[in-house]
Amino acid sequence: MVLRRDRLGLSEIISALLLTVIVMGAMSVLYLLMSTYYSEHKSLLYLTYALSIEKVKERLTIAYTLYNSTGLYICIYNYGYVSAKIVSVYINESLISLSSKSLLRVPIGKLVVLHLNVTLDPGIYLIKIISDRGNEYETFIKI
Amino acid sequence: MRPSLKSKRGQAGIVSAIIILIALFTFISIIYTSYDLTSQYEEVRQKVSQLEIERLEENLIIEKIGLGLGVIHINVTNTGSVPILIKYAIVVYKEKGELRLVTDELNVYLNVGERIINVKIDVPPPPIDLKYIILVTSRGRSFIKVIEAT
Repeated sequence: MVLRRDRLGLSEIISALLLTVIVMGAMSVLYLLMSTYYSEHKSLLYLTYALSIEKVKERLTIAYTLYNSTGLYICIYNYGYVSAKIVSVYINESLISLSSKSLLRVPIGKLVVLHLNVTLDPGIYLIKIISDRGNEYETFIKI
Repeated sequence: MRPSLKSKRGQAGIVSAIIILIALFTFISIIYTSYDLTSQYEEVRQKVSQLEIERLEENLIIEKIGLGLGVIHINVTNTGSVPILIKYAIVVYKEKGELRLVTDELNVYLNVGERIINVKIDVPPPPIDLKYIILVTSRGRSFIKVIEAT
């Protein structure tokens, strides 16, 4: 191949430009991939933290428990910063099944009474309630 | 014609600069995100700790209980070191030989050292055999008054 004198050096400029464009393109793709990956993980991180924060903000207390022939009554008060939902109740480490109807929502600053249709023999029982955020609240009742 | 090596000088510099910039950006973003999240978490923890401390500083005296027609009158005194908002009253009474409970929303505010007389609590109509009155504060503390048999 014979190069004309006036075209000498042109291929070097083109190759340099081409290389720069290829490098910039590759870097842009790499940057996009990395930023997508990072933002996905960032939102996951934010979600994890948000859940931990809500768990700390949730504060319930068992104000009073009463047992009579109709069952067990648990008075639960929410003094936290988020509303809570009771998902399970344990009596002496035995899970008491809650129907979807009796799954209890406790709004902020409200007292709700959870009624459980159970029969208990005389004795001391450990009542434990668990919220959907995984917090546990417990009390004792003497029957 | 082969391009001379001279023409490729500077390319590696650009590439490495871009790589360094991306690495730096990612590193700073991670540090910033971690700092932001940790400070948010710490802020909430402090707020909740403050609430728990104030909760322990609450103290309430329930006295002089009078029973009216479907209502109980009580006197309450805030002997703690923080203002108290009494949110609820739980009244436990005996009916047909069995304990029962009834709740009533009060929303009674007491400053430090303040005494309020004749706080009304709605209960089922008499005759009821009162056993306990439990007052629940906005910070979740419960104060119980045992009613002695007359």
